[in-house]
Amino acid sequence: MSGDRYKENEARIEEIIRTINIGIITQEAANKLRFEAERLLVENRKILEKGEGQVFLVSIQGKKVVEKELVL
Amino acid sequence: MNEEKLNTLKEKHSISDVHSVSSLNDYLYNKFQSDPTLETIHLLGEVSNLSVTSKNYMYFDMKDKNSKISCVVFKMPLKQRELVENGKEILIHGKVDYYRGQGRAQIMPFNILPVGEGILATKLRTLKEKLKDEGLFDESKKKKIPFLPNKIGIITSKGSDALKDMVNSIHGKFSNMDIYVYHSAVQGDESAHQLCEGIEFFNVIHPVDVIIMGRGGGSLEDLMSFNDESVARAIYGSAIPVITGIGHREDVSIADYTADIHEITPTAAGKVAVPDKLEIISQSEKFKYQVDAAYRKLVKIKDKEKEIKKKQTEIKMKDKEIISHAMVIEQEKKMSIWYKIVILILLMIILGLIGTVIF
Repeated sequence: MSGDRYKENEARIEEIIRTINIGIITQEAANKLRFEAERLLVENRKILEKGEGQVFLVSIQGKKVVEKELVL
Repeated sequence: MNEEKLNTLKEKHSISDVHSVSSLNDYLYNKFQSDPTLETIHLLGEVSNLSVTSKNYMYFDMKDKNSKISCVVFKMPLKQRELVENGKEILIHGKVDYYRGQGRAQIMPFNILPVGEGILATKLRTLKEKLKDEGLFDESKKKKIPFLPNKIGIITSKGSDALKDMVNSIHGKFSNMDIYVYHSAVQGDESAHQLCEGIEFFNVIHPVDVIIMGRGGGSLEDLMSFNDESVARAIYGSAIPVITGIGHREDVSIADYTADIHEITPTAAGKVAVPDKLEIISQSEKFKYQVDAAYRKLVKIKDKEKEIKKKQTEIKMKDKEIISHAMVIEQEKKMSIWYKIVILILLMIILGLIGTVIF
């Protein structure tokens, strides 16, 4: 589920922040981690943009599932 | 209706009297007022359809197996008011009034006395105890609602205000969330069966990440499908978490007890199903800032470390220079002593030679 992926990414970003903050890694390694965090932030933003905000009425007709957009 | 029109109709249809709605209601009101039996009565029945207004007026029905009558309480001590609960059997001492505005009889209680539980309430209590004993309400069995569902399934009546409330509250917090609605009757004979079908549909045929089951308020009888054993078992058996938002604040059904999350209204149920997108984005911005700040801090530390190293190297170089300079001086010192000794020896040799020549 994308929510799980979102949370995993967030946890990794927090870990990266902690690692950089401790300051015992090289600048090159920190730079790599910074890029990784930025990539994860972009991925999370994409997860948030999933979906169109549509409402569908769903039912079974025969053996077929029918989705019909519902305007409220 | 004016007098002239009434007289015309009397003449036209050869009838002795024609009432307007108001005059008939006035007539009935007077009849009620003048009947001593209706002045003070004791009425035994079960409370149903209770609602309390913002001014604390109570409106409810007293009913038995075949019939019901409205009751209204404007002022009454709290102890007696507390006796009025849906499904409870009570004894009312009051008068029967005729409400002309709506043309109906209603009871105005002076006093309310407890009797015991009504048949419906007893049935519900027994079922509730049975399901509780079986563990259907156990907190430990409640499923966790996902942080960010991809799809939300709603089981309710497709044209209801409850559906609009749920959709609005979901989209109010997360505008691009896709919602799938399974239409089900929410009262009446077929409703319990259709609610169960809805749960099965979202579990087996069209999976979603969270299910919301909701409907607006109603009388205890209207909400009975949510007190049905089969609905409770379907909710309990659902692999997908179920949120309920049934009725109003005071309505708690067996479905609510069984659900993974029970909210007091459909609006509240919609709100709890999704996170606030703006809040998440703001948290994400915070993370970005923290990453940049941590990196800038690290770069500063590393720059300082480089500077310190550079200075240390410079100091070492200087130290080396000083040491080598000192060594040169020392050597020079040593050299000059040897030089002096050699000169002295040479002088002594020369003096020795001169002495030998002279003597």
